[in-house]
This record gives sequence, structure tokens and C-alpha cells, in this order.
Amino acid sequence: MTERTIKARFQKVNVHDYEDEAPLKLQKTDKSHRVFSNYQISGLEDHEQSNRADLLVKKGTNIVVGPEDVLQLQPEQSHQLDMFVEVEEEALLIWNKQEIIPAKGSQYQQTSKIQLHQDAELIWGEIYHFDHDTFTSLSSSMEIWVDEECLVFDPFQFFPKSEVNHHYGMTETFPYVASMWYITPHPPFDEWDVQQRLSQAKHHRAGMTDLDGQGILIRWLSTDLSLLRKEMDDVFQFFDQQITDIRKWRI
Amino acid sequence: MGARDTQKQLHLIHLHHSTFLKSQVAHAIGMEMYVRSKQIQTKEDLASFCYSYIHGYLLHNDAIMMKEIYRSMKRQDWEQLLYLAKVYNASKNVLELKRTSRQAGKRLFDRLCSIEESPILEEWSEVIQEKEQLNHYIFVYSLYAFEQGFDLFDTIQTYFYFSLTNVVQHAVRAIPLAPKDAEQVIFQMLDKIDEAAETAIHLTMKQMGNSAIGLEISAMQHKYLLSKLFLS
Repeated sequence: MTERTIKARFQKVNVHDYEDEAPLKLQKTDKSHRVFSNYQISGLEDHEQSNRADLLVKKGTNIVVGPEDVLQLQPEQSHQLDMFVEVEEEALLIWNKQEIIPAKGSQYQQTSKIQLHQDAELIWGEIYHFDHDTFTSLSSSMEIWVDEECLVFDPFQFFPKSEVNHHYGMTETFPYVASMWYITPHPPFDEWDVQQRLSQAKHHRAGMTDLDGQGILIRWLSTDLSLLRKEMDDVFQFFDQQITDIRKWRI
Repeated sequence: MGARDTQKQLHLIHLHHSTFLKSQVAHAIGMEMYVRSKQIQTKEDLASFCYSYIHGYLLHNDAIMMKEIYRSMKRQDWEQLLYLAKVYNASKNVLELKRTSRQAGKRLFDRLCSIEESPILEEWSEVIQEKEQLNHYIFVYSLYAFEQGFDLFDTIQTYFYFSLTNVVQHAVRAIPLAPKDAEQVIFQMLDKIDEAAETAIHLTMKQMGNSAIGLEISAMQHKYLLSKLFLS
């Protein structure tokens, strides 16, 4: 499997040192925001290749990067995405709710290595769709380092045919798993503000934890994709509001 | 098994004696949510939970880490050990579980160092320096076990066994279950423990994985309960 790469350095509202190998492409969207520049990444669904993304967010830059669409894997295909992200001091990167949908016989492997400097901030959201019987494997490894300290090490592996999945405590029979990290040295909210946005509807579970005072992780298991998306959007909008209130003065 | 081996076995088992605080107790908080929501009500439900706890959670987290700690110590690679400690600390997502693991690590460290000289734990203390947050139970336990020459398989197997009995003891009170049901669950799980310990020997860091999302969410939710059966 050959590798295609996309590289970008974000500075203020623009992208510099940009290189891509088609079909990978990063472009600014029309969406305007008082604080963030919005970018869209496309071509990740190319299944013939493994993809690599190197993103550098320079000091004081506020960027939202969202995939163009859900990443729908093709049947019997192996797919790999390796992301290397660096966020400098006072900068903020939002990776906006990527969705990955495996197909019959497909294998998906994602690694995300993120280096944050000092008071850099990160919001990262992703949803994995499970069809428990058809795809082969799915793994996602998330590593977040703040300077020399490892803050997040979250290797998630799922093999649909594994006997253990359906037992209590695992993914059980939930078809959707989602995670959202908000890493910040000074969370601009009380944890109850987030907690009250998480519903505990039937067949939908959500939990939130503090990450050693340097951020939070919210995790969902759900059978209701629309509720899950709505809840993640709601939390995201809340973060957006809080961040905007603080960062609008820095521009 | 000779008399010397038996003595070693007893030494290893005694590390899990109730006078030593154990980090595994904390996982009862994840189970509590399943008990409260009436999902775990019978011995069959409890056996299902125990199976995923051993094979889905401990095997792909703590057991791999124990093996890697042994591997690092065989090479006297303290830098790698520090890296493992950072990664393990970060892999414990739920803050309550993380704190309990650290607290148990500190207690075991202090107790062992007050009983006998342990060059390996002294060195460990210097390696982590002021980073008390890296002093997790599994590190102190594995380093001491390595120093004493305990077999890796035995070290993992006993860790699994006492983790299991801890959870079952809590379940008996919370569900509640008859003591004989608890014994049946434990007997039923003994083969699974052997199987998991055997598998652990062949796993590497690449196979580290968190698939116990339900357990994790339950442990997260536990913090917000107004009344709790178990404290971490």
C-alpha cells in the first residue's frame, strides 16, 4: 500500500507550506466565524492508498478542520490514516466530528499523534459506526502529548467477531461509539455545564471525565445516531461559545 | 513444585493480602452502574461482566503493561520504563480510577520499602522523581515481582485472580448474590484466567487496546451519583 500525504502549516487565518497529493485536498470554506478559520479536508475516502496528514498550527492561530463527508469505507478494502498534528502556544485546533463507516470485509486503522505546546488547545471529535458482523477490524490510536507529558493514550481496537464484545462493560450491542476530547489548561466552564448536555436516554449512554485538570473526555455508546450527532453538536456549540468569548479579545 | 517454589508462590500471593491496598477495588465503581440499572442481577450476568473485565480490559491493558515492565527491566532500560509509566498514566481515562491506582501504588511502595530494602523500587523512585502521578500500582507491583524473581505468568495470573475476586466480593453485596453463586462464578472463571494469562505472555504494546467502553462510561457516570455503594 503506497502512502499519500497532505501537509499544511496554518498561520493566523491562512494556510502556508501547503502540499498535497491528489485526491487529498484541504481548502478554506465559506463558513465565517468571529474567531476560527474553517477548513475542509477531502479525499480521505481514497481506499487504494494509505493517507498521511501533517498539520502544524502556528502560535495564536484558531483553526477548525472538518472532513468533507463521512468516511465511508469500501467493501474488502484496507484503509489507513496517520495524522501528525502539532499545535503551538496559544493556538487552537478543532477536528470536527469525523465519522467512519466500515463496510463488509473492510479494515480501518487510524493513528493520531498530537503534540500540544504549553497553553495550546485542542477539540477532537469522532464517531465510529459498527456493524458488528460484517467488517474485519477497526482500530484507532489517539495520543496527545502536552510538551513532555503524555496526556491521552487511547488505543481503541474492535474486532466484530470477537466473543468478548457483547459482554457487559464492552461495546455490547451499541452500533455507535463516539469520543470528544477538549484539551485545555484552563477549562472555561464548569463540568456540570457539560454534564447537563449529556442525555441518558434509553439505549444511549454518555460519560464525562476530567483529564488530570488539563481537559475532559466525553465518551458515548449509542443506538441512536441522530441523538448522538445532536448531542455532540450541542456540546461542541457550547465549547465554541465559551472559546469565542475568550478568544475574540485576542484577535 | 519444590519447597522453594512454593515459598515464592506464597510470597507473591501475600502481595495481594488485604493489608495491602489494591487498585483493582476501584473497578467496582464501574460495575455499580450495571447493578443499579438492573443489567447485572444474576450470577450469569456477573460471569459475563467478569469475563469482559479480564479478557476485554485487564488483558489488553494491565497485563500487557506488566509484560512490558518485565521486558524493560530485563534490559535495565529505565528510560523505556519511564515512557511506559507515562503512557499507562495517560491510558487510564477515568480520573477516579487513575487516582485510586496512584494511591494504591503509593501505599504499596511505602509499605514494601518500610519492610525490606528494594534497590529496584529505590531506583524507580529516583526515575520518576517528583512525578508521583506516575507511581501506579501496576508498576510498583510488577517491579517488586521482577526483583523477587517471580515468574511473569504467575505474576499476571495472580493479579487477574485477585482482581476478579475483588469485583466478585463487591458484587455479592451489591446485587446481592448468595456466597455459593459467587464461588461458582469464580470457579467458572479460573480457566478464563489461565487462558488470559497465557495470551498475555504473547501480546505486545501494539495490541494494547481499550474496548471496554461500557465499563469506562459507567465509571465516569459513577462520579455524578448522589449516593454511592462503592467509593474509588
